[in-house]
Amino acid sequence: MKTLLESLGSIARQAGDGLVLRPRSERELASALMVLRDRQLALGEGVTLDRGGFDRLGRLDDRSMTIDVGAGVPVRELETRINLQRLTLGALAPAAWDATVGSLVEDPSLGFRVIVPGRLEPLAVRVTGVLPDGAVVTSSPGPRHAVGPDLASLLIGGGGVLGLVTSATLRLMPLPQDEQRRLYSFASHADALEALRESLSAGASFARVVVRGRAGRIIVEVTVRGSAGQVERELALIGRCAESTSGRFEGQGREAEVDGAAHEVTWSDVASALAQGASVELFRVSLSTVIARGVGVRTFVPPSPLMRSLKDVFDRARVLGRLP
Amino acid sequence: MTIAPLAGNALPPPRAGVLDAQAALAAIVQGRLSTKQLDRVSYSRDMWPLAMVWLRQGRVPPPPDAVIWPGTDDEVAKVIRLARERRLAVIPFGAGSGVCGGTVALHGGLSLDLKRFDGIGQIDPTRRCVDVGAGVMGETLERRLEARGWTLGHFPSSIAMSTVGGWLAARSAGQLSTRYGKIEDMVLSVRGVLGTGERFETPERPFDGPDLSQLLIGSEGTLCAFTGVRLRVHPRAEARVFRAFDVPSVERGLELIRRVLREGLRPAVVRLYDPFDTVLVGRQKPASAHRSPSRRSGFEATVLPGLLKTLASQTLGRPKLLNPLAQLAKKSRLVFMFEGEAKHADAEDRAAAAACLSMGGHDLGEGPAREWFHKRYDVNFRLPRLMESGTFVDTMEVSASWDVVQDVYERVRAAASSYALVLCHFSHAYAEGCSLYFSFVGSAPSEEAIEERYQALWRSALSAATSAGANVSHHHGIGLLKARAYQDSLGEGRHALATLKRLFDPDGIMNPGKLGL
Repeated sequence: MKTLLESLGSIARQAGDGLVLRPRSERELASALMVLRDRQLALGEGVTLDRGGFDRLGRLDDRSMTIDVGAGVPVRELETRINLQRLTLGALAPAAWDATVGSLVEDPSLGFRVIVPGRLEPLAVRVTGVLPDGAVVTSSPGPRHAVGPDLASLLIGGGGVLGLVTSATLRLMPLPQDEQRRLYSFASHADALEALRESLSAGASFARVVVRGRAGRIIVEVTVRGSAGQVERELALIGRCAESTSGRFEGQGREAEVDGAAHEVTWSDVASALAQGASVELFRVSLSTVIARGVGVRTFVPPSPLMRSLKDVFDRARVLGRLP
Repeated sequence: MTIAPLAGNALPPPRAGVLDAQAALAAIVQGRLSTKQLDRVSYSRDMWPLAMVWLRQGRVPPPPDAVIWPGTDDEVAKVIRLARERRLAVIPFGAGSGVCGGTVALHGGLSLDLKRFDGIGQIDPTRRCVDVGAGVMGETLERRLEARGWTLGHFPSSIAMSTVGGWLAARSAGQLSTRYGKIEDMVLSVRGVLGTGERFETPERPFDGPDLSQLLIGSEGTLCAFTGVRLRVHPRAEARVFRAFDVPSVERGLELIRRVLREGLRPAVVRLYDPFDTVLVGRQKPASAHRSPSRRSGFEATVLPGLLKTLASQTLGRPKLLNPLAQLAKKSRLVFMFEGEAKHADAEDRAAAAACLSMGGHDLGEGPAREWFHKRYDVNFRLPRLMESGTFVDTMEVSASWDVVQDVYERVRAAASSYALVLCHFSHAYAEGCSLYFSFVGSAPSEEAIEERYQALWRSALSAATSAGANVSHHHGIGLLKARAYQDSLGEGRHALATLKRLFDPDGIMNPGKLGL
């Protein structure tokens, strides 16, 4: 009988007590998953997946503002390359820049961007990946579709528990020509957060927001990026939304930061943190949720019965690991 | 698929399995069940144009054996569990406005009408959301929200005849989607009953895994029946700003839309009509009141239809002669509407206008755009009259990225031109692409020839669209009409879809045959 290393072939190498798999194609990844399944092994349990072999920097479509890119490409390296074409991935949360394209697209929080009015959409407009049974799935072309259940959701934001991303077509945007900061003060944190939500609903977008208390007032520092015209329009809009909730303009702002890890939370979580006197720094600010520093980690919520059923049927052998 | 004649009491009787279960089913829903012929005929189809052709021929698509009206999630769950035990098909039914044959009861069974789920909850102004029953009619919802100072921002042309559940089932898009998104972009969580008979409610963000709502939305009743949804709402727009332009070509118009979106502008509406469609849209008259056949004079009821059919066959039946006339028209009409906070909407309009003028657009002012807005639902009410004149009318909507949109347009036009008069407009625009909405009007010397031509048209047009890089549907869904093309487009994804089906509907009772499942 072949050893595990022999069965996996050239894509596997020994690293300490474990194995590292470095496939270069969907077929190689699918075969490796089959071998692991047959031997009742799982990724993350002595076997590590290195997606560095999916390193293709494909076609940059300037008209559609998208790029085809392999899952193993580091996000920071990708950003540097596309900046040369005057394009960017946009205002991502800090942790996104340390990810690879695959882990970014799979992340339930980081792999999404905000579009007007305060909506979230996946960074990946199209995705290819491998399911635990070895099937290679490529999602529908086009910016939106009505072609049945969104099978891309097995991969995009899926945390890698139902399938693994191997490549994606990512949405880009023009490199900002301008960046401006503004400070506003409010009588209460409720007013401050309402002004932010009102601005999002009305069509503004924030690269970053810092909210903190000072001398009995709540100070909000907003950062807006975009074309010169866009920044001017959005700052004017934000100013009017702030005024409508009794906000006061306090100047151009300075770059304040909040320490700590950032994670996705609800507006209610942000309000609770502010009520306890915390300062918070917000990224990827949408009407739904924000990615925040300075807000406590949410209580663990066990996976829903629906999620457990999906895991049972798509990855019965738990080759992609177990649910928490 | 057997198409039964409509005349007399000619429907096949309800299947024995349904009759056997009838008493138990009726007990679950307190008697709200019908096996009457009229109900079965009414629920045998949606607004699929081919089914309307069949009706014109006096034939009826396969009807359900019974129609059932549950009123609670528990009732839906009990009905589905019983249907599962007895192996009866269940076809979730909203208001029947679909255009792809998504509710045709291929194997009979139960048409599950969800319109009793008509509750609209309190708006949560802080979270900006509202809980809505799946059976709420679109127009009712929007009027109720507007009365409270809010909007969903979802205005499909079927708004007066479609339900929220139907929107979810087929991933609906509204006319203001460039700003507010499609229905799936508005959903925070969905509620319903799976084909297993289990009730579910998907979690809201933040997620620890995939967005489960997106794995159920768009399933067209093949995995579950939706009973309710939590939707994002927005403050009602303070102002709407309209403007229209004539542009020298489709290509220039598409480039303009692309640049406007690239600049970060988000019009609520952006629509570009190709030259042929521009000629027609510029000549629209208000839809006159439609008189039912029973109220028409002898001439209108007997002589006129024959004349119109002959006329249609001689004109629309010869698309190869008609379509080249499109070459005579050159200009394309571009319509914008910005909405929201008044000063911001004005500023966005000015920026868009500057871009359009710099690229050769001719500013027509707000008139044509306002006119479009006022008549935006009229086309739906014109369809029956066109169908009565012996034609077929249908629409095909696909989406594609900007780099291939023009190619998709040209290839579909070329492919469809042999079968029908072809018009197209471009709407539902995104930073990375847009939707192409083709209208086909055709005829043929006989009803049999019309059906053959209709089928050939769809095969040809869809094949041209997908081979040029478009998807199979942007917002009408799949139903029966596009099932084969959809399955072909899935590749190995077919296996993932089948796995979802096996999990959520292990006995295959939910809307069998749709999506190719």
